[in-house]
Amino acid sequence: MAATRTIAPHDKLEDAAYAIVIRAIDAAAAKDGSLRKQLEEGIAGLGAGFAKAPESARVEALKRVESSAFFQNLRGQTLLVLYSTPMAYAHFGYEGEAFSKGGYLFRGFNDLRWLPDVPLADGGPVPA
Amino acid sequence: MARIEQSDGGAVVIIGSGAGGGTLAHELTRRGIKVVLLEAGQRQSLASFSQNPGEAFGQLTWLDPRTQSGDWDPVKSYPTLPAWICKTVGGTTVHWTGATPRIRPWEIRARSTYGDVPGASLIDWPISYAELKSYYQLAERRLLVTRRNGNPGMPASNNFKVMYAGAKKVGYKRVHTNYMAINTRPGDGRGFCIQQGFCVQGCKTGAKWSTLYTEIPRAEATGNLDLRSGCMATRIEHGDDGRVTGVVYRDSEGHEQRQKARVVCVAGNAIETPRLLLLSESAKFPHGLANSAGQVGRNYCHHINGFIWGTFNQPVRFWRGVVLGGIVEDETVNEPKRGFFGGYHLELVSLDLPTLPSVGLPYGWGRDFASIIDDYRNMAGMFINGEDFPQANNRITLDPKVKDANGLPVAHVHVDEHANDRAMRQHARTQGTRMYESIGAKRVVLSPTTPATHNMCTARMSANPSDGVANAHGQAHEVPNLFISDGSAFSTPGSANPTLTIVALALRQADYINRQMTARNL
Repeated sequence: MAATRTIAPHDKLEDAAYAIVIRAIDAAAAKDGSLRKQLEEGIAGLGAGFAKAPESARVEALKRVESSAFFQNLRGQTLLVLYSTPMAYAHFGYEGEAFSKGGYLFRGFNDLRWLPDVPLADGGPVPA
Repeated sequence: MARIEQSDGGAVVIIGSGAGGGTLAHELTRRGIKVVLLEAGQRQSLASFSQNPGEAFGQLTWLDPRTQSGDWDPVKSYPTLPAWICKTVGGTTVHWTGATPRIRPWEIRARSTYGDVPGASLIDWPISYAELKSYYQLAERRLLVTRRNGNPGMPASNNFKVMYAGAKKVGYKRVHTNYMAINTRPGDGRGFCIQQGFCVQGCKTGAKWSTLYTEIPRAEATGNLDLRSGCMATRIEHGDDGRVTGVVYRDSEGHEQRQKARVVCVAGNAIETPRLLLLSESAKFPHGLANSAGQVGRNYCHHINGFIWGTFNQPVRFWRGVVLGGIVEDETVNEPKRGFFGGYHLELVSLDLPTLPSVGLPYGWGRDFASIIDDYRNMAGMFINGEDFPQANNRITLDPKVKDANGLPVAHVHVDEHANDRAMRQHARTQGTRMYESIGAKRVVLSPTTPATHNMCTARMSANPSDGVANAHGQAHEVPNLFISDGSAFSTPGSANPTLTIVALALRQADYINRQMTARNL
């Protein structure tokens, strides 16, 4: 948890989102012995006090292993899973797929009002 | 759909069903020519396209292993994924974004325009622009390209409003919602764009042109197409006279099969096409099929690319709307006083939330990275698409160690950037940054080079057989019944997104093959 929160620190994003990341990593490790070994050794390498250390110390510890397969895997999995969670969608305001709702054509694809509209000649008509 | 016997030596065998292979299959079958179309991937449909970005990536992407070397960014950030292309029926036309600008007249005369640039292996295309233009017009009518032939433009999205305002502020004049092979109204049996923003996951309305639901079903309807999905070509065979005789492939069960052929057309995209030619080495062609000049796999081009993200104090919601619906054409000129030859486009782009951190910000983690994602709602995006320079040693070779599931050497991609490439990217980054800053961006974030979505020039057309692999019709210099039918055949990359040019060349090649078969030259 401390490592995933250090990689992607969004203080107001709830723990449940990070818990999904950890579940996904655990599930992958359960299926793949070499991955499990890599994770166990990698986490052990961060030191026993890692989870309770201040953020600056955690960042330093991760920076030291930044080029390792362990870290790249952990970073990749964390980002991939975290930003796919419903909690992250809600937190960052991302609305996701829209095909099931008829797209964004009539749901705000051109609702930006703080800049001028584009002349029709450089854009095109919105289908009725 | 036709069932063509494997022993039938009268058929044309096309390898790959994307923009080149799929178009060619339709063009030949509608003229009554029997075609076997081998496609390594599986068939999806509008209904089966996943709306989960991670799942869609797995469903469509070519993920077979590849290795890399050189000084370009993907070696570090995506060691096993030099290119982001598809393995599915319809090829990369399933996930492409529909942008269809043309290569410029001066770009197809690259060697004459830029001169003898040290380190670059530039040549002129062996085709006149007048002829290419007539096929561009055919292709634009076929694809129903917006802003051409009286078709209306794509309506402006939020993300485009930001691009447009910034571009106008820095004085750009040629800024519009791009030439797009995406219907804004129903046409040619395709649906229309509902601005859902999931172009890359497979367009569920079929508004975007893809051979999967246009050329391929039409070819099937002629009764002359035998499409074999899940079939990976592993070798092209030839006879004593040096003409190709058939294709060896693994079927979807992994069994080796052999299809006889009158003509073979290779359209596996610019990494697999040269790999297949190299795998087809023989006593007669010890360095690979059609490779006596040593040009197969060389001159690999991939376009100068990179994202420019701007964050603002107010919402943009750039995920709403068609992904690439915007272009700045003012820098698509050859003005060496900028410090480099050739030109580039700035094109609109957005990425869904799950994809942005991995693809758009590849090394990011920690507080600073997280603060960019915190502004996801207020983010606008652009993509650099510029002409890179071919170099002889930027090439596809067979990896000496790593093998694929069939026990065959995987493709190794080597890329060292040319000084011209770096100078162009720097210019584009500076201009993009100016655009966003001129309208009050809080911050501008630049990405490194991402895996290539445009792959070209590895079996190029050349007037002189010692400079390339194929003649002006994509016909191999050394093997008259072997054709290159994808972006591998480009003589140089130009600055345009390649699909329209691949389609134009496929239409032209189909005319040629038909004439030559009728005249019994093939």
